[in-house]
Amino acid sequence: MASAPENEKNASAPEKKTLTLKSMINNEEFVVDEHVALQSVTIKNMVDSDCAGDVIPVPTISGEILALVIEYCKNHANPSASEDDLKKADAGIVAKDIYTLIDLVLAANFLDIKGLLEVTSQKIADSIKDLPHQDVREIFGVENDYTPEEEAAVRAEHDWAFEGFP
Amino acid sequence: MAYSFPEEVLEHVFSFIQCDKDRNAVSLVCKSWREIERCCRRRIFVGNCYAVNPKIMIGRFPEVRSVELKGKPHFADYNLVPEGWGGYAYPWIAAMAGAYPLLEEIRLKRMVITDEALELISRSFKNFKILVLHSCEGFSTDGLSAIAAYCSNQLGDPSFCVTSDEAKPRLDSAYTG
Repeated sequence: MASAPENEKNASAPEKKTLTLKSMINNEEFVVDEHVALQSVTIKNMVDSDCAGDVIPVPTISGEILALVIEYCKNHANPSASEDDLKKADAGIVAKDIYTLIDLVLAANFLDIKGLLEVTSQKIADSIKDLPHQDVREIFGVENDYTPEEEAAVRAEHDWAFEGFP
Repeated sequence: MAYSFPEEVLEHVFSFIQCDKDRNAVSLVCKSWREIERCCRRRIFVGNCYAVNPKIMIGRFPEVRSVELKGKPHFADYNLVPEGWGGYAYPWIAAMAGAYPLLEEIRLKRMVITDEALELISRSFKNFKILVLHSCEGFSTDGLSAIAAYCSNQLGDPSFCVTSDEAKPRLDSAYTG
């Protein structure tokens, strides 16, 4: 690594800067080291553009989910964590029910944390594997806007054309 | 509970769904899911080349990179399908040549593929990587040499493979290059 002489000398007192993240859903607050929180591109942009006050409000994400997000960021901000450790830790974070995973993927997207978005998306994809579409619809709370005829037409196309049959 | 899902998140999740059956289930959820799914489906398997028109496939799935097509029924392997029955690859190749410039992979099984079709493949897809002809017929060394020429001009390591079922004596040896 090349040295960076231009940088401010912060060797004197490496005071750890912290940020407070506050869930706007249940007002839970989390004090987080800045370098941990900055893994979120959204938070980084807020900090960089000086629009982050002492407390950064996080809309639409509950304290429970925010805690998971922070756990992920902490793990990945630890320079001594091996790839294997991180894999295991990620697996632990996404070992949740599908509804938690859905909240988590939305949080990862909103906070723009690429790695978390990846592992959560993968886990959701695995969880809906082999499920009939009615179940997927229910889990995701999606309203069926197909008419019965339209749905039958799409299904017919699948049966004949776009599905592996022996 | 209803979620409002940003399109890019769904697309991301769908990108991890590989199996046709699961992809198809997703597209039956609602119209907008079908729309998102169809635009990010990269691999298509068509189990019977007469079940769907290539135009319909292309219209529905505009971003495909890999196509697997089956032609004649499996009993063709026992010479039970009359000569000239069909299973022609050319109409598919021609349609895909116009629509899928980024196509990387074609796998054909029990189809008739002419030299003309092979030549068309060799000059239509700039990122082409894999061609598999399994129990296919209708081509000669001219078509194969067009493909071979493409392979030798290509960076990376395009692979090209002609195989036949052992049960089918009239198609000669496996041919790899």
